[in-house]
Amino acid sequence: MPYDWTRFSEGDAATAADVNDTFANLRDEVNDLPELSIQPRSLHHAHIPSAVGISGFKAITTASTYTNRFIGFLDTAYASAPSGTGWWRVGPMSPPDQLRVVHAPVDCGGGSDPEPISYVAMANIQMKKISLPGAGANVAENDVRHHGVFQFQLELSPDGTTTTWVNFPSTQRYSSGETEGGRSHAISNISCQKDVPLRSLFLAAQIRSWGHRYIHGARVVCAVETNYLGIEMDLHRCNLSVFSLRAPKVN
Amino acid sequence: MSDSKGRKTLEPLVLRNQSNLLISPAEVADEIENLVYTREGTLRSVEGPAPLIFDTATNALPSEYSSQMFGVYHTTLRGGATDLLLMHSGDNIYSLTGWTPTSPFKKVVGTAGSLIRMDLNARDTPQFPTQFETTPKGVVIVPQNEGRAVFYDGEIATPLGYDSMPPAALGHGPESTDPTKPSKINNGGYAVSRMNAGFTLHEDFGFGRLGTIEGRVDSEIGGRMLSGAYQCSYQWIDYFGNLSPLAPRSNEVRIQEQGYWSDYTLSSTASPEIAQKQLLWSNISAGPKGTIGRVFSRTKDILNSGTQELFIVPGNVGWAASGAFATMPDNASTQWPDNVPDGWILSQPHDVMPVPVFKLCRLSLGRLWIANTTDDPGILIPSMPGRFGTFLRDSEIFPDPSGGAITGLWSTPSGLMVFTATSTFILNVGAEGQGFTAATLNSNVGCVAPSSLATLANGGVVWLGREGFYVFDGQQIQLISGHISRETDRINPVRAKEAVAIVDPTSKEYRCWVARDGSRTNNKCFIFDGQGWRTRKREKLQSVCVTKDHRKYVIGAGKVTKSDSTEVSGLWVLDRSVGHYPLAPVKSAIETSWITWPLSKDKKTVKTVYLAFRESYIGSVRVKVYRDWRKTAEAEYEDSTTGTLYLEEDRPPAWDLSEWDDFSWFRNRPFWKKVDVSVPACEVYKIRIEADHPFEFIGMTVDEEPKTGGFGTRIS
Amino acid sequence: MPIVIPKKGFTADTPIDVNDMNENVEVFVQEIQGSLGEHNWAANAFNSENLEDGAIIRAYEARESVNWYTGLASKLERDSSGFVPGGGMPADGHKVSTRYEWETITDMSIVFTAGNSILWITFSCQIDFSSTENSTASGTAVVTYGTGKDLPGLQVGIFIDGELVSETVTGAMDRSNDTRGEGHHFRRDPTVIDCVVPIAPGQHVVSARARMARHTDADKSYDSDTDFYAVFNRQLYFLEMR
Repeated sequence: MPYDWTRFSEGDAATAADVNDTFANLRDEVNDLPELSIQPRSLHHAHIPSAVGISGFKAITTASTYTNRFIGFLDTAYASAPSGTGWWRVGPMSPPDQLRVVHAPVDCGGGSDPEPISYVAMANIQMKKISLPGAGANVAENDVRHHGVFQFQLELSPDGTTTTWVNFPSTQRYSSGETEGGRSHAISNISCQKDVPLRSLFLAAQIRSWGHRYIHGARVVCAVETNYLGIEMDLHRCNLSVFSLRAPKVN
Repeated sequence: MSDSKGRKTLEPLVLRNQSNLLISPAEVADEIENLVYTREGTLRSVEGPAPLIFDTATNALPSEYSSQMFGVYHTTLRGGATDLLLMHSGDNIYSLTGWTPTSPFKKVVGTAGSLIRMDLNARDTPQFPTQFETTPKGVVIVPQNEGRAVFYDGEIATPLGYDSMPPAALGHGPESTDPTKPSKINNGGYAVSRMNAGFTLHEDFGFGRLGTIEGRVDSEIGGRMLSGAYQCSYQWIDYFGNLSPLAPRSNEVRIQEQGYWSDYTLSSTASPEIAQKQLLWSNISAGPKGTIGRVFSRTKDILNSGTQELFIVPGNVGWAASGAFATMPDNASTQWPDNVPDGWILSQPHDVMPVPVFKLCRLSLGRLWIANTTDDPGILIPSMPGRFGTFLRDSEIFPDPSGGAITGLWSTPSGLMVFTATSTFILNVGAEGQGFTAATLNSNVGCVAPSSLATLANGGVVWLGREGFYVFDGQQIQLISGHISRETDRINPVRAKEAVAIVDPTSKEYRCWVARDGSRTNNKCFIFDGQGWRTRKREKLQSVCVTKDHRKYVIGAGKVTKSDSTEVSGLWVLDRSVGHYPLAPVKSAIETSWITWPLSKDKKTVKTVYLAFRESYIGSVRVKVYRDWRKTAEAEYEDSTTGTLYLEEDRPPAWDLSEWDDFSWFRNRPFWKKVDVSVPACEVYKIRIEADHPFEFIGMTVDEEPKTGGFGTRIS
Repeated sequence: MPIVIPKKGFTADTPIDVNDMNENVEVFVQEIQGSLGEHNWAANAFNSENLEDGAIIRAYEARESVNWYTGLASKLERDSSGFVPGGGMPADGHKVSTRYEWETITDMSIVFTAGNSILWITFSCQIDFSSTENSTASGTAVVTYGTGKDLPGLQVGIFIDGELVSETVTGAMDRSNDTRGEGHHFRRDPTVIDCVVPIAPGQHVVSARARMARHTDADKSYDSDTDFYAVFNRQLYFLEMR
């Protein structure tokens, strides 16, 4: 409430009460400042907390090869190696590594309303080649279904301790082994050198809709989508960045 | 008892200014010290100063204060959103960070931890105070340590512009492994084209565009690309938009003449573009800290275009707006694959000079003017408009034909005033808006102290020159300190360059702090109110500024004396007071001239002095009366009790003496106080009023009793 | 603004003047009635609880999840038995028209009211295609079907209030020389574009649009039932930084 100050008037009694009231009102005003007390744009970054909660980064520079087969858009099966069927983590087997970021738990809220949290994940994968090694000419010429498929998984928990990796199919991205000659088939054994970008903004409400409350980390998983056995996918350099913001979704 | 009917009462002396003339009217004092002209029209003892920042519990001042203070400056940027108070103290230039009260200054320039590391070489030798100037983008800070000026916007600090040029880039183009064989021409080196040799462009990537094609002349011979040559250069661009000098030109990249038949068989249908090339420029160096991009320039085909000039290469094919500030909008990449044809390059780069080390600067006529460089003290150089750290070659001016060192710059509505020690010039835009012209205002009067320049409320410009203080009223330059020349002659000439001045926004006084009587630091303040002079000795300031916000505080950097008689250095807000900071009491004084020489032929007796005060203290002043041109160690008359600063019969309520609820709010009232002095038979007399506590003076008058009878003054 | 100091120190034995008193109080009243500034707050004076949600950064997001893998008959491709007409578009996929005009990708448009802020806009999507065009492997008699080799590129771009942010457009703009450069010519590929732009207060629309580039042959056209680009999984999101 703006302090409507009245000056001391010449001739009025000079009382302790009036003087005390004046300073008390000043004090109360200072302790409960309205918006109009402050000049526009006077808050400096030194005053306000960072909107960033956690952040993390991971890079992998070692090449790795995959033959684990993609099963379906909503499939959650996880292979035990980069072979067989199901998803497998991006990263080499030896020495073992994966494109994964772990951080302090991000609380999406346990009450009736979600916390105003946005969680951004950004990944770049180099798909170097997708081909049938040692194949002769013309194998699977007319079959263009050879794709590397990639997806974000978030490590979530309802209680801060019991974590589960959860797929997010809407983040799936796939890339085929196109060559400069326009061929889509894989037998050319020509490196396609595709850069596969994944970006996604996750929301606290979204996490809660899955029955979870905390985000503990993120990673990228991959699979080879093909109907031809033996197709291999080679991945090389890749990186993953995540950060959380105190930024509610407002639309 | 003398008969009051024989007395003559002088006209009231409303003393406001002082003069050192031996003979001066009674209305002009001989000395008025530590008294400020108030809005009510009185003279009141100087208030304060108040420490800008201190610990209210311990009275401790910030540790960043040094005994050597070289500069203080306040400005606002971004429409008031950024409030910047800068202080040069000792080896660092600081910015106030009020949000960290226990450590309220952050280092901008200076020792480790500063945004800009620089040895400020703090020393006591005579030098201009650190100079500051506000531009729309930030503040220019010019330490006088013969180092580079700095540009600071409250967040980012960079050296002002660039003082060096980037190293030359390296050009790469096609080379011929055997110039005599068609299949070995332009087939090596960086051979990028649609010709079947070397690194061939895939058809999807179109054609090279460099090289001059000769039209088809013969269906048998086919056409050819002519021999060509290219060079490049580039310049850095920084966060504030400043450009560096152009790098030296690169090596010349030569393209050999080549026919454009495909597969080296004669063909009248081959497209000419297949012979054209791409080039590669490498070694494009990243710039120093603060650089955000490189503006890359290239010649057109030197051998065929008829020009060797450089032209800026645009960064975007589509010339889109947001990335177009530089060809290479980063400070990381070092190579530029070039396929930009000659027809696309139109604008020429600016030929920029390295920013010299300079002492003075001023924003005027839309540019930053720098002056008094290390190599050319008489030089004056304008910046480009809007790029306050970019100076074009051959744009310098020497306003003084004799090349005298520039000692002051001041922006006025009439133009930029430029001073040497002995002359004054005014600079303005030239005829038809081209260039600048300098006209001489006065070839005998100059300025010795760049920080003594200030503009009065009536628009006049005041400064300290060799003979004293001058004013320029738009028409002519006049000496205004003639009446106090005895005082101004005591200014230490070697330290005069360190004089600092402001115009106080409340009292409209011009106040200039100077070093006198051999002092190495400023120890006296001369005050000019538009009519006359006073002095002030409360603060010893090495720098002073007026805040550019609604507060209009006068903030000084220097020393004051504490109640224990020690001097303490820091930042002080003048004419403000926080009562409990232990400053030494202010000693104020008014001393009349010798009253009065025109009537001194006849003697008179000084009977009574009537002092007009305004209530200011429950105490009294000391009144001294001297006689007959002799100001002796002991006054003819001295009184410390009669001259009370309040009316005894109407005593006002006072702090620490009265109780609340016991009185009404009053304004301090004026009153007369009578002091019987009785100094007999004098030719002339002088009255001095002084006190160690505050008083507010309105005027005085004197009852004289002429000496009757034939005894006049002693006349030899 | 920052530090203010009383005009008069009320030292002992000085008279109490009503103007002095008023002027001293006035100094502080004026400051708190609109002049407080950056120097009046301690560092880290505010924590998250003091700030209204969205005071500093706000997020906006629109996403479409598309099951792009629904079996052979639904894939945008040919097999050895020929193109399967009429099928191939999964639910919520966006078919890009063949009219060579910018069109808003379905559901990739967000209307909002901004303060004086900076937007970091990101659009991430999966591009796919359908094509009847064939190519023949060099030196063999084998025909590879539906490679889309001759499809011109696809451009995606971010638009603010109907105006394209030029730097976000995929592919080069150098149509005269970069014959395949106008548009993203990898036909089955994820794409991300982003930009950071300042924006004035008011209501705005941010959208992601797509356009098939024009073929170098001016009279070339495509049957939109069989030869087209499509956008599947997609998300448009941006952070409004105030």
